[in-house]
Amino acid sequence: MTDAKIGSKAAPVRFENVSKVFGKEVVAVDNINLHVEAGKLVTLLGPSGCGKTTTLRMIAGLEMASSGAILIGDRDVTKLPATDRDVSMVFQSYALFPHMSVLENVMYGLTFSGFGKDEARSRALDGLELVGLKGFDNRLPSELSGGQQQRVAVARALVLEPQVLLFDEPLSNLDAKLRRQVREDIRAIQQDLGLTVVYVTHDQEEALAVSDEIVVMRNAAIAQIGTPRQLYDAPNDRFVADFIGEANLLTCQIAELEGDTAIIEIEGYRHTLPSRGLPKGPATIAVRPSRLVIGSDQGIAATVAKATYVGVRMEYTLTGAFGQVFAVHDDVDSPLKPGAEVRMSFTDKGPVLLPK
Amino acid sequence: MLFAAFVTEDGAYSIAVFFSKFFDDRLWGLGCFWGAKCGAAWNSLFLAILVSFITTGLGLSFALVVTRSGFRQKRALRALTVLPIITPPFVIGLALILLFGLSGSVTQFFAELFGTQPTRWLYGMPGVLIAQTLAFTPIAFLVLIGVVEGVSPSMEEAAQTLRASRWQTFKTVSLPLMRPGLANAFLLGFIESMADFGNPLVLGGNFDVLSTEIFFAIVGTQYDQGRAAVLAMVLLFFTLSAFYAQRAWLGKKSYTTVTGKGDAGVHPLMPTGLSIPVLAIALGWALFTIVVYAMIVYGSVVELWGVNNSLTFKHYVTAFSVRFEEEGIRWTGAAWDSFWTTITIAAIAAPLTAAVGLVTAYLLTRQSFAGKNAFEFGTMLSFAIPGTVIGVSYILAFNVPPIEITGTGVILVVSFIFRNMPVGVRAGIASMSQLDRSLDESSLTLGANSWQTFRRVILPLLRPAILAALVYSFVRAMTAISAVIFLVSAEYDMATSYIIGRVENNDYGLAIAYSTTLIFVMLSAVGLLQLLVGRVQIGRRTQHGTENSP
Repeated sequence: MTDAKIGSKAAPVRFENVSKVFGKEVVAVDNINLHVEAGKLVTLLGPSGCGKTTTLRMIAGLEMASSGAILIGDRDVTKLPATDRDVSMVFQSYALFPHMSVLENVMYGLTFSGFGKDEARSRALDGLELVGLKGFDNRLPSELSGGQQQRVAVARALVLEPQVLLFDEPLSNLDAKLRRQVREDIRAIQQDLGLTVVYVTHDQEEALAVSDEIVVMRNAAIAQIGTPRQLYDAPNDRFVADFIGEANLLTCQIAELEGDTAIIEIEGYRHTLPSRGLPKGPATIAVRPSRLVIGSDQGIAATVAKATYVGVRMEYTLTGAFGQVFAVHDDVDSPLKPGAEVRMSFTDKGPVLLPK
Repeated sequence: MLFAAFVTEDGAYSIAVFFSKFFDDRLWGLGCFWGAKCGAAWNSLFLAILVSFITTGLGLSFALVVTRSGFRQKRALRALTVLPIITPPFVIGLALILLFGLSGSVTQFFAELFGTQPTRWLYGMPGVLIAQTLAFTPIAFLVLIGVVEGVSPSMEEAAQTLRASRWQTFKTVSLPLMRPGLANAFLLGFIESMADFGNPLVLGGNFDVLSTEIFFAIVGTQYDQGRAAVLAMVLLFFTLSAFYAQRAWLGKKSYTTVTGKGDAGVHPLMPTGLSIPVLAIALGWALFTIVVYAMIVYGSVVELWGVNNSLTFKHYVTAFSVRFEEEGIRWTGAAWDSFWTTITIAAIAAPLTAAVGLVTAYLLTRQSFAGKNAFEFGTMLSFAIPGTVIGVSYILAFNVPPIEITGTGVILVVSFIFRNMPVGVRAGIASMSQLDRSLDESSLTLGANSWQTFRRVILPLLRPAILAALVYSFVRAMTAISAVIFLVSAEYDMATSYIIGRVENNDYGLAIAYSTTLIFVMLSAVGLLQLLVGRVQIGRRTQHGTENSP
């Protein structure tokens, strides 16, 4: 796979105060600033209608920005149509041309890029080999499986050696088992060739798995940008905390501040964690289900409301004066029974204060 | 049924007679290449090919204007699609005579302007060609609009991100993907032109085509049923060959988008080099159509076209006068008889057609049985067969015992049912295949039996299909001419054949007044049915996780 005759002309992408308004009132993207470094895979993540696909289409040149500037490399492409941008895209529906063979599909872009017929053909064959579809050149797209079609779409975009490669929810039409493999393949190709990739998804696990950096979007704006670990361990607000992985949100009091650390208190239970610049007083913490400790001597009083055995672990719903939390526990051999009274505490790096 | 008609009839003749009729010079003569007349078969073929090329081209222009241009009045263009459904087939021919005939307004205008002698150029090939193009362009448009819209926008967007310019995208992606639609539009134009009876009769002059020849073979002085049968076979041969040619051209290639999920893009605009001529053609033609239709309405209130242009309601009075007397209303107008017959027969035929069509669709989609494919092909076949052929075969088949119904109203109803059923079947299949089988099954598991399931679940969801089938069969029954003309009798005269009779007597005023009335009656019928059947709201969840850019 790595013996690539296909190179890369990876370039950075920069959004400067970009907005997109449909019609008169519908703001799809609201004043976004974004910098995608060359050779990095950046994911646009968010719920439906948050503007992530519109953002991607603006990079492709399929939508024109209403205001602001878009730069690819050093070049201002804000007003440039898709045809003239050095960008290629893998569509959610793959958009393979059904009346052309696999080879013709992959050659399609090359023939418009000034390559001779033979050169285009050999490059297309290289591309097919790269995605592991050697020998499929004369098939029609309708004769391929979903995963194979997907790879043809990737090959078709790759062979153009674009400055930026775009993926629009590439895995959404694949079944669950294939997804893991395809996303690993995409990541491998991206890293081997050093491509700049912008990738849209609404699946947080997929985003965590493939990305160098994740851009979480909400209501046409960017909620937070960071590496997968930053987003998971230190979300900026409730939205990000809840969207990236599951999170229990609890209200607490910041009892003491010492430099960068704070001591919080919930029903008499105290825990030390980074203060993230928050003042004393009421605040909100987010705790991942796996970072709740159940059954220690001290902690917050809670009752087991539900206990579910899911094979690798136990899942519990706990209720108490704080409300309700969801917790997981690795000990499946001696599970807690519903109705049991327990104490709940946090692991060392467990909870995180939410600035907003 | 069809073939039985030919077998019984041909059996009475020797093979030699059959061949002599078949290779008749009137049919296959190629005289037109050196100034004489061509045979009717060549005329028909040539005309049909020309008409289908032109209508497909015009239909494509309209479809492109509606979907791929910034043109504002798209709704008005879409209204065009209703026209062919509610227009009796020969009305266009009449309107053309009013415009370009010997005493037509345009002819007169130019005659005065240049002092030239008005000619009869309209009668013959050019007139029929213009009339059929006018009549069938909306049909091509109707077919193509679905296909042009159906080309997945992400295909075109993909081409653009692959560095193809708009023009290259259109040429290499959009156009090839429209091929099935183009082929369909072409085929429809071909069959409609072949089967068209009214326009050649009104405008044909010395230009013989198969459909009119068949008519004259049956009703004319010749009364030669064998010849009619032979001509009908030639006609049938042409249309079926076109059918197969279409299949062959489309070949095995796939034109459907492979995965149906998550297409959120927008169609790109046409390349500028294309949009200007296309827009010009479409607008020009739309204007012409409007003028022609305006002519129809205007013509119906003119005393005697070209001679005495004063306005009058005389024709309407002659046709539709009503007298109120002691014993009630007396329908004294000349047209009432045929008018009521038409309404009655259409009203009987429409629900029957819809019912037969939907039951057939139900059988085809929900049940499986031996010979299902053959059955499906059979139902579509009666669509591909020109009405003229059907008319002739019905006469031949039902003129003799055991079923002797020629000349009765029953034969009209029966012919309408079989002729219009395919639309019901198509509409039914289309909507039934969208209804998931699990709907039936959930109803069954909830304790309903098959019949209750059909009545309470399937039927309500099929309301749009039922509406389509009802409207279509009602309206077609009112405007049909090609099959009907053979089947009417003094007692059961249909509106269309009555009008043709008036035209043959040069009574254009009455004919046009009657046609105008029909157009309005059908418009209101369409509206009324729409109200009665109502609109179904089938709430569908938007697909999970896909966002749609507006």
